[in-house]
Amino acid sequence: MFKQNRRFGFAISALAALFVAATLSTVALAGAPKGSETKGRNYFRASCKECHTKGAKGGEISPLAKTQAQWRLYFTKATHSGGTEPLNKIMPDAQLLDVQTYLINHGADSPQPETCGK
Amino acid sequence: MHHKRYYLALGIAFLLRAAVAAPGITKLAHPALVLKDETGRNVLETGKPISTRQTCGDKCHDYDFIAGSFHFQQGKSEMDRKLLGSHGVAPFNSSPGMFGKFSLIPNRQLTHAGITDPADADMSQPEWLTKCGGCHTGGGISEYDLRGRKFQSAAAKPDGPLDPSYTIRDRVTGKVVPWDWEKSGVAEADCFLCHVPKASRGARRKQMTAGNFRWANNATLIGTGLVAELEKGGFSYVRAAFNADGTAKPEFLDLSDPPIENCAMCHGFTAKNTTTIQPIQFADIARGTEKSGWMYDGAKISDTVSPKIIGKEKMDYPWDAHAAKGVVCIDCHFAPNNPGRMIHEDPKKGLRYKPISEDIAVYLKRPDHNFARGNIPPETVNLASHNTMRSCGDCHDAEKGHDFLPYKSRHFKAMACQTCHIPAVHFWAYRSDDWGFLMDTGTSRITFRGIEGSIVDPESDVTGYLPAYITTPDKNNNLQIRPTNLITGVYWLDKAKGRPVFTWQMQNAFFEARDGEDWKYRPEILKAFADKEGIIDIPQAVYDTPAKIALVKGLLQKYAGVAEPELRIDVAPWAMSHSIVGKKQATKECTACHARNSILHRPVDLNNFLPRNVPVVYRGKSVNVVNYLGKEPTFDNQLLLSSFYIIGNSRVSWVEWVGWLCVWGAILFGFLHGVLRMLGVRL
Repeated sequence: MFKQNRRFGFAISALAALFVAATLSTVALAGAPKGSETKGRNYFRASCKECHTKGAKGGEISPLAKTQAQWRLYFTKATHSGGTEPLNKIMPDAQLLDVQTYLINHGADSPQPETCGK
Repeated sequence: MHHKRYYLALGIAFLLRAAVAAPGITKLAHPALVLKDETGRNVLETGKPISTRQTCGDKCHDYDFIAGSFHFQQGKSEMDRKLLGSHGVAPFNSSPGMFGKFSLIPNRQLTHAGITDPADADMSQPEWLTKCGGCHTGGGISEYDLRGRKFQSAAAKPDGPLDPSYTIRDRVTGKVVPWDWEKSGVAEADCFLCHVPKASRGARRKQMTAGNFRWANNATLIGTGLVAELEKGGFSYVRAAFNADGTAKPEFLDLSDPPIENCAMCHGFTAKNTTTIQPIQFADIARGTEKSGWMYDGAKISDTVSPKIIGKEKMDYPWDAHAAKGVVCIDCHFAPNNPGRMIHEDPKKGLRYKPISEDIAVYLKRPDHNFARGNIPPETVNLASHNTMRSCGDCHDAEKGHDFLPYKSRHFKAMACQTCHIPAVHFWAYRSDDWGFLMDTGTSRITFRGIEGSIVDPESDVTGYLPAYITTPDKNNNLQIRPTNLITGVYWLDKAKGRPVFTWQMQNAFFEARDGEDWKYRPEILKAFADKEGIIDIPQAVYDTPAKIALVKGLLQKYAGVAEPELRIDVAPWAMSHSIVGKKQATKECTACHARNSILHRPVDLNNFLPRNVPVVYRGKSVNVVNYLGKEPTFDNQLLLSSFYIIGNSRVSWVEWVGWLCVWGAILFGFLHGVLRMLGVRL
């Protein structure tokens, strides 16, 4: 019985590992989003900041809230409100791509370059 | 005989270097030293900032001699109208170096001394130090005002309320306000930045940006364990890193010749053998990468882990052949009076070998920090040191190889070695920086070539790019073809003042308000440029009609006080000498150049949003190098390469006409002759 449980556990672990690997490789294969950062910033300001500011019901969210990989994963899952509704209910897919580009490019670990002298 | 001595000296130098590099042999250590404050007392006793003037310059090294060189002056010692004019540097620059030269990429310029109108103030000396002082190593530029008076001395006082050495433009109010030198202190020459292997440019940058100039050199040492940053500001000293006699323990300070990693912090991505490339560090893009995408790295391109180099599987060779061989920066960019490396010839005096060399003691006292350099466009910096380094031909005997190449001498005279040995650039670089139109971040629109996606996203595909070819004079003044990256800028010129329109003036014209980093466009701009959603994205920020140019011209006159604005295009070539490939990867096919579709004339994309019918400036002169005939504007180098007759590619119209006349004339003659003969037979 114990042996069977161990085998079952092993199988589950292996499947889980495969799933994680597959998910990660999907994310990796997804590459850089090809949206517009300028548009994304405007959509983010217009649509997201309404709820995601300090004291508002969604809590404050800025690009710095997640790392680049975390934003990538967030848009791969593509759900909102704790996973209860799909992201494209908030805004159309084309706009989502722009917001994704903006958020990933300004994520907490993104090396933000400043032009010398600006 | 003289050659024997030369090779003997070289041999000793290499042996010494080999001995130093050999495992198990300790390099010749710098003597232990006391870190002193500005009064000459041990910082362990006083807790004050380290003074390199006192620490390094007290007895052993001539501080003022060293700080008088280009690395510390950055053009400050070349602020001479005659000198600028003789080198074709535009008169709106106050020096040919970074400290005084207008640069299109930040669209900023050091304010000229003696201004009387606040509208003439752009970047004051203190602002320059806060923005650029992370890399530029203190000394001359941050110890003396523009008139040569030492800051915080009795002589130092502003010449009026706009003196650029004692003021700064407030970012919020836009007003020119005094700078408190007592509060900031000065940044003395940062010897540590180059000579301490664990130097931290990021920590130095932080202090310079915050205006804590006096602590900048301490910050550079943060990674050594000698100092610790205090929460209230400033730095303390870690007693355990010092010997009982008060000297810094050598294993902490570890002073040495500049390692390549230290040069890399400011000059471009450089590493002995690194597979993870980080071209953006401490918010700065490594300069060589930014301008032309070169990499000085001994690792194979195929081994690159990050970023994603497209096609790397086929690139089983190093990023740079010299880096792979272990050549370090100071092997070529050496102190010219270093007896172990100096060039023992003096062409001006007709000497192929100059037997007199600097005594090692003299060199150590006064090492010349005007490091040997070449002369590649568009650099005007350090005019006195152009062409002081060894060229390719001084190490490589090109005539002995290249057996596949006919007319070797002719090829070597016409082309820089880089033309074949940098056939492609496998990284990204600037493509355009457009200051003619500001985005809603209050800054320019920048595009890159050689990458699909953003440069900050490690998942972006780095595709690399193929260089454009221009001509530049070599050290013997022969015009040579060489590869380059082209950075195209669009900017407004204030014709009345004869200088580019400043960024703050552009911002006044384009925006009516600012909320943090978000800038709010004027309604006139939105009406003319925005899409149906009211957003101005890159495709909308285009001068595609004369009316749009006229609109912005009017706004510059109305809100920025620019009397006579003129939109201009500037095409700047950034030549490269790194990312060199070996003979296997170099261009060898004759038809690469000698064919109708020669690489030398390939159409290189510039900036697909370039306005039409505006003046084009190339290397400071009005030369039309933009071809608008295709779908997108491309670089047109026909005029630049017109002095070269490239067999198989060049076309000389009158020769073609004569040729065709001969051919058709011969056919016609033959035909007529035949007809006449036939008629003659019949008759």
